[in-house]
Amino acid sequence: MDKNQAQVEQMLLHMDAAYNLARWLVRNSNDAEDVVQESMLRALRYVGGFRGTDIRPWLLTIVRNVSYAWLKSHRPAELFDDSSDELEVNSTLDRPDLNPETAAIRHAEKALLNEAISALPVMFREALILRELEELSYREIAQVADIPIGTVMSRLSRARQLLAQAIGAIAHASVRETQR
Amino acid sequence: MKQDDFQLWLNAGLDGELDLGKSLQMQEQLGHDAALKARWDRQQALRTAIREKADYYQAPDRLREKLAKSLTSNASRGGAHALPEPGQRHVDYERRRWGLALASALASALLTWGITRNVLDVGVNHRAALERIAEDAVAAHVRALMADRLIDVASSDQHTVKPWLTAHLTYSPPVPDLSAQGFELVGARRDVIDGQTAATLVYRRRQHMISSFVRPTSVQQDAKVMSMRGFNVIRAARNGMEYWVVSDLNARELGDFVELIQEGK
Repeated sequence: MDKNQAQVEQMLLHMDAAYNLARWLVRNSNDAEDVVQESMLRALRYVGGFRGTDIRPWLLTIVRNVSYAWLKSHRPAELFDDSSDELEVNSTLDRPDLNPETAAIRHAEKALLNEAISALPVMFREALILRELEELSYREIAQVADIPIGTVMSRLSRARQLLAQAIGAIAHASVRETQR
Repeated sequence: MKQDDFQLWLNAGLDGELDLGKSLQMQEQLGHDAALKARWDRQQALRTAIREKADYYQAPDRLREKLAKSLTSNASRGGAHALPEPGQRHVDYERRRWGLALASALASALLTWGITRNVLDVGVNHRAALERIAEDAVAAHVRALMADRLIDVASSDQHTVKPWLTAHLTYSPPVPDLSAQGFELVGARRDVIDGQTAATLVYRRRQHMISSFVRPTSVQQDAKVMSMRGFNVIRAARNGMEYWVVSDLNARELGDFVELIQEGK
């Protein structure tokens, strides 16, 4: 029981991480609370079988699975978005001058940035949140999202390109707006 | 390199997922390839923007209360029950499965949450903590250079330096003799890094001073290079010791140094 109790306390330390991931995946605070509650209950049930040193990726794996199950029953369209694999990514090599886009990113408003991340297809959003906000390694992300490391790399790369372009495009549009 | 591969390489570099050799190769290429540098800068800007501006949602207190409440009420109903019907995957079922003791352990832990979370919230603050340590290390290195206080014990003899450190610390860091590889031991001092007193070994390569902070750790960490205030900083951990190495020496030679010192004779 002592070991279990220590693990329970460990898990509680990562409750914010659990909530943050769920909140970014289901994009709504009430639903995220339900997801986390169910995830914690599940985690408690299985924690006795946990054999590892870092419980955070393990807990996030559960949160991720419960989030996906929730999406599947409430907003299945978000999971089966076939277009996401073909999303147009403009070649950065074709555009020698990235400085305007870089500047737009640096000066992006908080609201704009959050909106742009929130608009990414869920698989890219997930990779980005796990990497940048939860600071998981590629190996850990592969475990949480149940995908090969190569896929982690390409999703992250794609996620960043999509996000950079989205921010650049919004900034560009607003410049044109003011010039008009 | 195909463009896709190129982009993956750039991302892996940004994420600290390249091995030391490839990482140093990237640093070098960044120095003279303007197009690469532009893409790197864009990725860096994006990372900074996300980490500084994207919302990090903290679990609301009412969620903790809700969880604690459902556990206590479950506990008061009398703990473990019979197995549910196969296939029944309702939350109630999950709940009934744990015994009374575990449920109340969690409930009480939840209720004392407010006290512990500030002290123990390691996951969320992990990155900030690493940056703070790197800043501490660079600041200590700079202070030592400026104040002409490079060393508390000046000796190129590892058998003088090591006992001094052991006498002044609660652990005994390895002090290898690397003179054959061109890194001359200058001495050692103590610095406060990350709120703790750490051993700092000082080596010299040509005119470049190297501060190598050493402290015990239980983790393993492949070497990662970062750059801060014009200094190269490498963090690595192996065999129970964590190293933060700071110098104005180029990243390649500093990388060699980190490899050598970790082999620690």
